[in-house]
Amino acid sequence: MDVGVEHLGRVVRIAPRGRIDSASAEALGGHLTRAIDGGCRHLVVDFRDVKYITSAGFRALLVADAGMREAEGHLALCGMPREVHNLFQIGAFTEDFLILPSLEECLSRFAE
Amino acid sequence: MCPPRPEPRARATLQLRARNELAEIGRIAERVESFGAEHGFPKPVLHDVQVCIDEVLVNIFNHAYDDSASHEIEIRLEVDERRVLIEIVDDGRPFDPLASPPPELVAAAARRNLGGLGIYFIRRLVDHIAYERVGDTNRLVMSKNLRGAAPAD
Repeated sequence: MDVGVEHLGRVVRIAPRGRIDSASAEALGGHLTRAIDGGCRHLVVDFRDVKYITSAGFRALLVADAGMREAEGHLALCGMPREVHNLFQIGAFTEDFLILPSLEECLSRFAE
Repeated sequence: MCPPRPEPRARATLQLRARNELAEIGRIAERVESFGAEHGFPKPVLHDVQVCIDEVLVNIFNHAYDDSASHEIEIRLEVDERRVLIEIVDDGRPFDPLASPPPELVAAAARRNLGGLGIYFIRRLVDHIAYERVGDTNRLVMSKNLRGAAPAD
């Protein structure tokens, strides 16, 4: 996995590419934490190029989600391949996270 | 050396050995991905197989060993026209992952205890799973159908 970080106005887009697995989840978590600690309050994780995510990745996302709630900011997930979204459904995470189809929809949601 | 392009699908196997360290996860994933591509695994099947192998391995890394020594885990994939079989054997202490309690799926995410989530994913992603203790080893066998796989919605 490598991770792209892009600043789009007040929104930070974090785009992991490849596998968010037991070995790489911690690195993703580090990117998310650094963004929040750096003052980002509108964070998007773009799953467009993610092959899969395992339970370790869900833990990293939940830590980021809790951190963002505490900071009274907003976290959105987007661009999920069908198989990835299936795991969010199996784990009953679809109510916990704001999941939108595309980056564009995240940006317009966060522009409100 | 390479089997002919399977149409109809010939039976093929992949055998791997992993040490009990996180650095092995990526190497194993790449071998499995190549095998899946070579033998025409449907995309959702390859996805689910890769998630399951990751979850089983990390579960072994975290729970199977009482010592800090290096151990080898055997991973075997077998595909035929019907299904992918995944067999994972470790020499750790007796541990039946299927006996672990399910994770909490109702509490708000921030308060959730996610223990057992990986095993829960496995149970939901494969069509059949069985554990047995064989001599001094744990043997977990999972089967994933190539067609009629659980739809991704």
